[in-house]
Amino acid sequence: MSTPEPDLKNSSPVLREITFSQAVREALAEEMRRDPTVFIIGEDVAEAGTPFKVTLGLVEEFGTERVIDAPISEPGFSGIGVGAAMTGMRPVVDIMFGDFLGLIMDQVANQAAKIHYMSGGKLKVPMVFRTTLGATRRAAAQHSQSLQAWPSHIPGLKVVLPSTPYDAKGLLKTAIRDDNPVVFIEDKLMHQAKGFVPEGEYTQPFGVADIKRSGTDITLVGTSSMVQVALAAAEQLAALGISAEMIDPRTTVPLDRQTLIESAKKTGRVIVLDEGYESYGITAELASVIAEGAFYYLDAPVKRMGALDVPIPFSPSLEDLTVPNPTRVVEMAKTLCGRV
Amino acid sequence: MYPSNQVIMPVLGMNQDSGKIIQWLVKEGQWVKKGEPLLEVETDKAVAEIEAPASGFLSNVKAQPGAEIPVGTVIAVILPSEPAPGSVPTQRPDEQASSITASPLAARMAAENHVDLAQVRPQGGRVEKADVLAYLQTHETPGETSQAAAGAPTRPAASPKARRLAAERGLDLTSIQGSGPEGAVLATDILSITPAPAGPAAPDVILASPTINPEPHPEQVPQEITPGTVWRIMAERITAAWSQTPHFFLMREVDATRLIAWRETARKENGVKITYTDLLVRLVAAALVKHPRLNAAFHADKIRLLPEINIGVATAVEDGLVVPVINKADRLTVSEIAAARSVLVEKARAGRLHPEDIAGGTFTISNLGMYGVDAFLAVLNPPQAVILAVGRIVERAVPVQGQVVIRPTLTLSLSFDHRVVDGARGAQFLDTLVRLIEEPLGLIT
Repeated sequence: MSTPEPDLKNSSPVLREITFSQAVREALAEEMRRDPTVFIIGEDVAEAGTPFKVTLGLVEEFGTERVIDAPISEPGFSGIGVGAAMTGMRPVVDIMFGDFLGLIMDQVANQAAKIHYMSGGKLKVPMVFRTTLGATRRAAAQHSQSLQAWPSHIPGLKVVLPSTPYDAKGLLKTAIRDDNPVVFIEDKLMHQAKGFVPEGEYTQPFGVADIKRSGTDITLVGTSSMVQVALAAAEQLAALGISAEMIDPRTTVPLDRQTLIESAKKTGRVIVLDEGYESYGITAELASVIAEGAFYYLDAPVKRMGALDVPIPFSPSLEDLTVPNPTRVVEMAKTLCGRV
Repeated sequence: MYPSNQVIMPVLGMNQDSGKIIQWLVKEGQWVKKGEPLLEVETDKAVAEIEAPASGFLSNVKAQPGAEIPVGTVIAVILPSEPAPGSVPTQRPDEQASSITASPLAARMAAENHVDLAQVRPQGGRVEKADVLAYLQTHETPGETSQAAAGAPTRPAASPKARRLAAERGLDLTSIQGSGPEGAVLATDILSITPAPAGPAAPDVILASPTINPEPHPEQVPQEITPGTVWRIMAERITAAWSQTPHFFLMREVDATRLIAWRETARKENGVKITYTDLLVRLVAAALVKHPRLNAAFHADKIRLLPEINIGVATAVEDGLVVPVINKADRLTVSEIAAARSVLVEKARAGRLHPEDIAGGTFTISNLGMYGVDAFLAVLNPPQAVILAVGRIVERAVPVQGQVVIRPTLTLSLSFDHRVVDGARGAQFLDTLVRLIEEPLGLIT
C-alpha cells in the first residue's frame, strides 16, 4: 500500500532511485513519445530546462516545436494552451511558480474549467498546468505560496499534489491523458528528493489516497510537502507510544473521501496538514469531510495545520516559522491524545 | 392559591404517564382568558391544545418546550389580576410603567431572568443593571430552580464518540467523570467503565496488529434509526396486540361493480371527493348495526358491547401509523363521512390530531388497495375485536353461470379477536358486509 513499494505488475522488477525532477521528466518524455499532440510551453522550459531543471534535455529530443520557450506572459501562453487543447492538442503549460496562478486564473477558472460545460460537451480541454508550491526556499512572499486551494475550489478542474517521485510520474502521465484540465502542483523543494521508481510504463489513478503508515491512535492527513512532515511526526509519536496513521490524498479533486473517513473512524482523532494558508484552505475542506463522515467516531476536534496567515517572509528565521514542522505536529497530536 | 388556577399536565389518553410540552401559546406574564388555548402538549399519537383553567396572568411557568412532564404535575399558575401581597408577582406592563422606573438594560435583564422589577430595590432613583445583578445574586427563586431541572439540563461536555459509546451502552454521561479538556467525557472514559463488546457490531475495537484492518466495510455497519413517538407507540401496541390477542382470519372476494357505480353517483351528486374507504365506513357501520355482537371489546374476562359505532381509518403518516376515528358512522351520510375523513386525514398528515380524534374507535378499516395490494391480513387494534383489511379493486376473471366473465373485484380480509367473535359469527358478519357491498343501493341514501 505505502510507497515506495510501487505496483510491480506491469513493470520491470528492477527498482531504481531517481529524483522527483527526473520522474516528472520521464513522464513528460514518455507521453511526448507516445502521443505527438503532447507539447510543453512555458518560460525557460527549453534550453534552460526550467529553474528546477525538470525539463532539461527534452528540447534535444523533441525540438523547439514541442518544447516551446514562451515570452514572459503567463496569461498569454496559458491562453495559447487552452486554445491548443480545444483544437486537439494536449499541452503541458509550465507555470514556474504557483504564485503566478494569480496571473492566469481567468484562463484556468473561467476558460479551461468551463469550456466543456459551456459548449454542451462539444469541446474539451485536455491540458495540464504544471506549477509549484512551497516555502522555505528563501524566495519571498511572491514566490513561496501554496495556492492549491484556488484551483481545488473551481468545478471542472482536477488538482494533483504528488508527494513522491513514484506518484509524480504515474499521476502526471494520467494527467496528460485526462480529457479535462488538470492542475499539477509540485513541491519545489522536493525536486531533488529521491525515491524508488520502476523502469517502464505505469500510471496512477486519480482519487485514490495512499495510506503511507498504518496506526490506531491518530490520523495525520498530509498533502504534498506535508507528507514528509507528517511521516516524521508519526515516527516521533511512535517513540512516545502513540500510533499514528498517515494518509496522503494525492489528489484534492477528485478526493478519496472514503479512505479519510474510514481512517478517522478507526483512530477517532485527526490532524490535517497542507502548506496552503490555514484559513479557508484545503485543510478546512478535508477537516469538514472528516468531521461530517466520522462525527460519531471522533474523540477530539479535527485539527488543521497550514501555513501561517501571513505573507511568507524573506527572512529565513521568520519564513521557517510559517510552515508546519514535525515538532508542532507532535505537540498537537499529544494534546489530542491526552498526553500532555 | 386556588387549585383551579393551577395549570396541570393533563391525562389525555389511556396509558399516558407523561406529556411533552410543544409550545406555550401565551407568554409568561401575559393575560389569558379562561378557556383560551394556553399551550400545546404532545401525548401518545396527538398534539393537544390545553386551555387556560382560569382567567388571569400566566405565571410560574415551570416547564419549557421540549420538556417531558409527568401527568398531574403543576406546570404553571394563572394569577388573578390583583395578587395578594407577597405572592408571585405579576408582570402587567402598564403597572410597571406607572410605579417603577428602570433603565432599559435593567428591564431587559429582569425580564430575561423572570425577575419582577417591583421586587428589586434600586440604589438610586431608578433600577439599574447593578441592582438587578445584586437581586439575582441574593435570590434564587424556587421557580427558576425547578425550571432548570425540568426544562433544559446543562449538556455534559463529551466527544461525539463518547456520546455514541455511552448511548450504545445505556450510560448516563452526567454520571461519568471526564478526563478530557474542560472535563469532557472521552471514549476512553466510557471504555474504562464498560469494555467494547465483541463482534462485528463493535467497530471501535482496535486490534493489536496494525496489519489487520479492524474496520468492517461501511456497508456492513448496521445503520440505526431512532423512531419518533408515533412509531414507538405503534411498535409497542402492535407487539402487545399480536402477542396477547388470539387472532383468526376470514377472507372473501367481492364483486365491486356496484361499489364503483355507487362511488361515481355519490361523487356527482355530492360534488365532493368520495373514496372507497368512505363507502366502506358506511357499509361496515350498517353491517355492525345488524351484528352488534361484533361491536365489542374484550375486557376483564367479559365481552363489553359498545353502544356507539365508531369506525377508525388506518392512516399512514410520515412517522408511522395512526387511526383517526369517525364517530357514530352509522348515523352519517356518505358525504358527511367523506368530509369528516378528509379533515381527519389532513390533521393526521400534519401531526395535529387531537386525542379525541383517535379515541373511542370500535372497529378499524385498513385499506391498502391504493398501493396495489391484492389482499392482506391486519393485526388487531385493541381493545377492538375486528379489523377489516381491504385490497385493491381490479378486474379479475369470475365464473358467472358457467361462463368466465371479467368483473372488478376486491378481497376483504377480516381479523377477529377470538375471545369476542367465533368463526360462525365472523362469517355471518362477513356475509352481511359482502351482500351490502354487492348490493348497496337499497340500503344507502
